[in-house]
Amino acid sequence: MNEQDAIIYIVDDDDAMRRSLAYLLDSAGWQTRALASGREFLDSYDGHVPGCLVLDVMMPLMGGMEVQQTLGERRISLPIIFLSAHGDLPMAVQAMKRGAFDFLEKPCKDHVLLDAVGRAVRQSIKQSLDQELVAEVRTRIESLTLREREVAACLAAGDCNKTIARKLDISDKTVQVHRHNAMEKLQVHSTAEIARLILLAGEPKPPG
Amino acid sequence: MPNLQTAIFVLACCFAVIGGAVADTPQRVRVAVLADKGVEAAEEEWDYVLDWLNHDVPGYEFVIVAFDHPELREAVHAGNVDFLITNAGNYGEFEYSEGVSRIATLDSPLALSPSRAVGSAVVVRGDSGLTELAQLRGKHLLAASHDAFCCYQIAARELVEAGVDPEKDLGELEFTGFPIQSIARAVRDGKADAGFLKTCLLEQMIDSGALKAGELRVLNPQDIPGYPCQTTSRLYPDWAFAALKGTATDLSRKVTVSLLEMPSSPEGYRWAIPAHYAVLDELFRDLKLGRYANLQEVTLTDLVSRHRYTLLVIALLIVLLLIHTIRVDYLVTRRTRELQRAHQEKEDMAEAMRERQQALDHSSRLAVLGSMASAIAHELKQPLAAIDNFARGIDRRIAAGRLEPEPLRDGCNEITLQSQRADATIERIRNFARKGSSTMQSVNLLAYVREAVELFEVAHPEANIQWLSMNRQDDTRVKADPIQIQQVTFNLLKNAIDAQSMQGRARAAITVSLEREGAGYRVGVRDQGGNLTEEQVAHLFEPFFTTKSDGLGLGLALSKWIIDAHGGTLKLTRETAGVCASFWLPEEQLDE
Repeated sequence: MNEQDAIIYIVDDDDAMRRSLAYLLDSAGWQTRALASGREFLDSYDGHVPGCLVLDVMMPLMGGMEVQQTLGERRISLPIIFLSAHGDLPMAVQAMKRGAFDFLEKPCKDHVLLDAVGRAVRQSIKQSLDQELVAEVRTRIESLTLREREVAACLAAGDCNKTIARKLDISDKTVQVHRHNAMEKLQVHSTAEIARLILLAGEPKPPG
Repeated sequence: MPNLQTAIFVLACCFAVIGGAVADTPQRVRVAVLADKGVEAAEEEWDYVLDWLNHDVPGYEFVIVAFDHPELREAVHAGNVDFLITNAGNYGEFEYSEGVSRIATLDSPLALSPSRAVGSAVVVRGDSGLTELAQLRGKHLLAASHDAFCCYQIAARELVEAGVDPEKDLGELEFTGFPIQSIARAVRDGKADAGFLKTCLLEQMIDSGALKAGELRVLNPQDIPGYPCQTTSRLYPDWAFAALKGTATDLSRKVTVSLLEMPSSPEGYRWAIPAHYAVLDELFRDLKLGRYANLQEVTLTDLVSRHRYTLLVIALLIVLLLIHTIRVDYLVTRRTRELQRAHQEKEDMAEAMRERQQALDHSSRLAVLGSMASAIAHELKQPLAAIDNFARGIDRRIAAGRLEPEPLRDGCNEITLQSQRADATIERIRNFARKGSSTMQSVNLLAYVREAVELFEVAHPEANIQWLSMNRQDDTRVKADPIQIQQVTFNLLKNAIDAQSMQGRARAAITVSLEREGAGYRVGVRDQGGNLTEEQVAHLFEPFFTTKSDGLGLGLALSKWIIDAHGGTLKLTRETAGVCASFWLPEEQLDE
């Protein structure tokens, strides 16, 4: 996964602006998809990453803010760069609070936009990689048996073997076997690594 | 017995003196006399009679008072006299009009009898060809006066019987007055065709040598045995002595007796018992005089004289009416002038109003432009930003060595397109702001309304405008100033979005429609900005009325003015969700 795979989505109701943005981004080497309305984008977006969305704030029928909200509801984390013809500060604040990547005033210098796009794409890639890692960790965790998972959870919480044996009402020997197997399945070499993986996967805390 | 005689004389004298003393204040009796020959002649003529009465009727002083016709009429009417002596005709008139009664008739030596005493002789020149009264038609006649008995009325009757109306049929009827001798002389001298004379005058004049026999000839002479003079007419009674209505009976009786006992005058005149005046009656009837005056054919002159006072009143009324008419006319003229002036003032005011409206129009356009400033900026920023993007894109391609001609040319074309767009925008704004550049032309209403809506959408991206109208291809041709129509459309849209914004519903749909209605088209802008009160709607068209906190209050007033100027109508309708503002324009009348 790298920047060559990224697609820059451009949504602006103004033909000239849309075409010129696409031309500029294209000139800078980005793949682009230009769309005339938020609705059109939402209907056609297939979840492709990495990439980013260059979104005009003021559009008839469906404004940029609405598009952002809908994407949030759909748990799509495509970075959004807002473009606004009117430097509307409250709207910018609101957009940023909702997780917008950037809020630029039109017309903006080409390097400002391109810089933002570049950063957004990189974030998109990172997000995509993180998501892949989490998925891998979850797969590994899911491969553990119930007991192994319990032991791993206690290890992540910093418990020693004896404490685990007492908590789970099993012998020290048995704890040591589960611990060995879990570390092997999780492909880690320390209890600290176990703790990091479990945190990454967002696994619920063990009971007790 | 001379002494006795003397004594009687003395006694008589004494008596006379005593009587004089007793008659220190003798009752004055006024005897009016018609002086048809002049006052002195009349007094002289009747002196004998008066002397006799003064002598014969004691205790009274008889005084003679001579009058001409009008004076006599007046005196008798006023009752200023006790008795009157006048000719038969005049007497007849007074008997009827004033109630005088004859007590004696003059008995003249020439008369056949008192009742057949005088007549009238119509004389012509001896060598005249006239022989019949009927031949007098169209001729020039002389008579003494209209009132003259012997010298007009009597003869006139004969003319009437001969079929000639002396008042109408004669060429000329000339009244010469007295003395009548002048009539005879005038006829003799050829100054007239004929003349009316009193009987016996001709004979007297010949006797006195004033005329020669044969110079004048009496027309249609009557054969009256025993009558010494030639006459054209029948004979009538002689002069009458008459008592007025108010004269004491006792005095009348005394005078009557005295007159009858009066000895003949030296010329042979006496008084006789009153003659029968029936013959006069016939005369009056024929001439329609006296009591028969109302029989007279009405002539204008008669009317005038008879209804003098009525006519005077009528004339006065007419004059008043005239004055009134003139006054009314004057007032009407003045009022008309005032109205014209008022009208002129109104025109002037309307002209001033128009000028002000134009100024207002201009300032309002500027106001609209001001409110559009951000929209204008946006409208210009868009193409500029696009140009910037394209230019930098091209630059980046060159820098990166990506020199494929196709994308580079695309970028250049885009730059050209966008600069044209910016230019068009500037031109549009300039047209919009230009003062008095109203140019009526044949335009497709739909296209311009559509353009205005698009312009508005640019200025207000938050606006949600729905089209409900004909196809873009439909030709909705009107005669209009496209800029003004766009301004109105823009105004209505601005009102709609403002109303909705105030309700916090800026994004609600604004429906723009264009429909055919009657002989024209209606453009409607329907908002959901909540309801206005009936009162607000009523005031909305007034300049400087506004419901907006930052409004000038010119939009609708100006819009209405523009639409009115286009011969259209602008109206507001309250609806459940908001207001529908619409204007109607007549379709263009094609001459072909």
